[in-house]
Order: sequence, then structure tokens, then C-alpha cells
Amino acid sequence: MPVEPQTAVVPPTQGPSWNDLQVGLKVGPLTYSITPDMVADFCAALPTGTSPYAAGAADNAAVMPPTLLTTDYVPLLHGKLELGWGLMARHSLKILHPIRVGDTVVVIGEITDKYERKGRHYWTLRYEVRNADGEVCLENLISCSVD
Amino acid sequence: MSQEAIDAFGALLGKRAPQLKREPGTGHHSDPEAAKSVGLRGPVAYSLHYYAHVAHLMTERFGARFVNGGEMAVSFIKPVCAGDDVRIAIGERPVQRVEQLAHGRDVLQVDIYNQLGELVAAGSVSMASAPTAAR
Repeated sequence: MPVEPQTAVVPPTQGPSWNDLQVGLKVGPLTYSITPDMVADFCAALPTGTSPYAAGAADNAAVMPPTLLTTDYVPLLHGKLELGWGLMARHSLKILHPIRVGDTVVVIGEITDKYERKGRHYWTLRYEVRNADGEVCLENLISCSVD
Repeated sequence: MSQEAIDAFGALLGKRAPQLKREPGTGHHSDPEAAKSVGLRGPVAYSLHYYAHVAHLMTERFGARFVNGGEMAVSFIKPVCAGDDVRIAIGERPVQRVEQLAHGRDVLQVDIYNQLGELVAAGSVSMASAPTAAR
């Protein structure tokens, strides 16, 4: 009986590899207006309530959940590094100012490190979110493996 | 952490960044075969998903003190896979790494456990110390 050829499930390899990645590479900008729908969708996906972010709770105005944009490392690195199916090693976040619903924000980043540990290849990206006044509101630092 | 919850979290990014052309149901977060091909026992949850719950709990508990100067740092130790339960413990035990202590800040240990009681992620959260009441 003929055996059907199996399609191997392998991580994507279309983009530049970890070997091509340069420390100091600057990425972004991404620009968003933070909408009530973004907050509602984020809270629904966690899932959590939205009340801590409502006007009058943590701030006079409605605020964005502080981690809503943490996954922006993916679009920031899109076309710069094939992320593969690696795992996250570490993430840190500094909240310098709240981001308010209705704010327009800009996200930019820079590769600050790449290293090899136990046969896996890691990268580190620092990325920050600025508001329309140019204030840095969020500072993120993330390290992930690509394999 | 159900597969449905993992997919819902992953879909957020696809909606915000359509240029990524993400295909739902593929990759090691959704496809069991893809996950196994990279040594995982099943589709893996997004670490930033349960990390977001830490931030949510902190915002819920501390409000303005956290969204105005809060910090968090978490190391991810073991993967969380679809079907696993996670329990987030904030301040249940003392801060484990003294370098995370900072003058003028209240620092709390964060531990995330799976259903077997294994530590899957750990770190700290902090915010400026609350002003002391005037005497």
C-alpha cells in the first residue's frame, strides 16, 4: 500500500535569521491610537474585567492596560528577524506614565543583545512606547529564543 | 489555560497588526504537531498572556500607584501548555533576589505555578512606596 507523503511541520524560515541579526538594529515606528475597543478586546481575551482601567479608577481618564502593547515585539521585528517557534525567557516593564484611552502612541525599539545558551539562540529587544508629547510612557525589555 | 484562551490572546495581535498575515490555528501556540516538533508536549500559551494577568492584578490592587511608576520583571522557567492551569501568587513569599529590592519602592515577589505546583515563572513587581501618614 503506498504511503502518503508526510508534510513536515517545521518552524517558518522566511525572514532573516538570528545569525543575520545585528545588535544595535533599530526597529519601528509603529503608531496607534488607543481606542476603547482595543481595551475591551484585550480584557475580553485575558479574560478580565475592564473596571480597573475605567475613568476614575487608576486615573481621572480611562487608561490602557499597561501590557496591551507588549506583544508589539512581533510587528517590530517583522521582516528583521524570523522569530521561529522559540520561547520567551524574560520580560520586564517600567510604567513611567499611564497611557490614556484616546492617546496616539509610537512604539520603537532596538536590539540590545544576542547570545547563545545551552545550544539555543536568544535575542534581546528594548522597546518603548511614547505618547503624543514625546514622553516615554512604557519601557519594555524582552529576551526570547528563536529555536 | 485553554486552547480557546490562547487563540483569543493570539488573535489580538493579528487584529492590531494585520501586516503580519497571521494564520489562526498554525504554529506552536495552536497546532499540536507544530508544538511537538519543537519538543513541547502541546500548544504553548503566550507567556505575555499570564504576564498580562500579573499587571491586571497589580492594577486592580494598587491602581494609580501601579499605572504611574510600576515595574515588573518576570523570568519564564517552564512552558505552560494548553490545558494547564496557572496560579499567580503576588507577595506570598519574600522577594527571592535581593538585587530586585530598591530603596523607596515596595517590591513584591511574583510566582506563577502550574497545576502540579511547579514554578513556571517568577520575578518581582514594584511601585513607589506609599506615603506614610503624617503624625
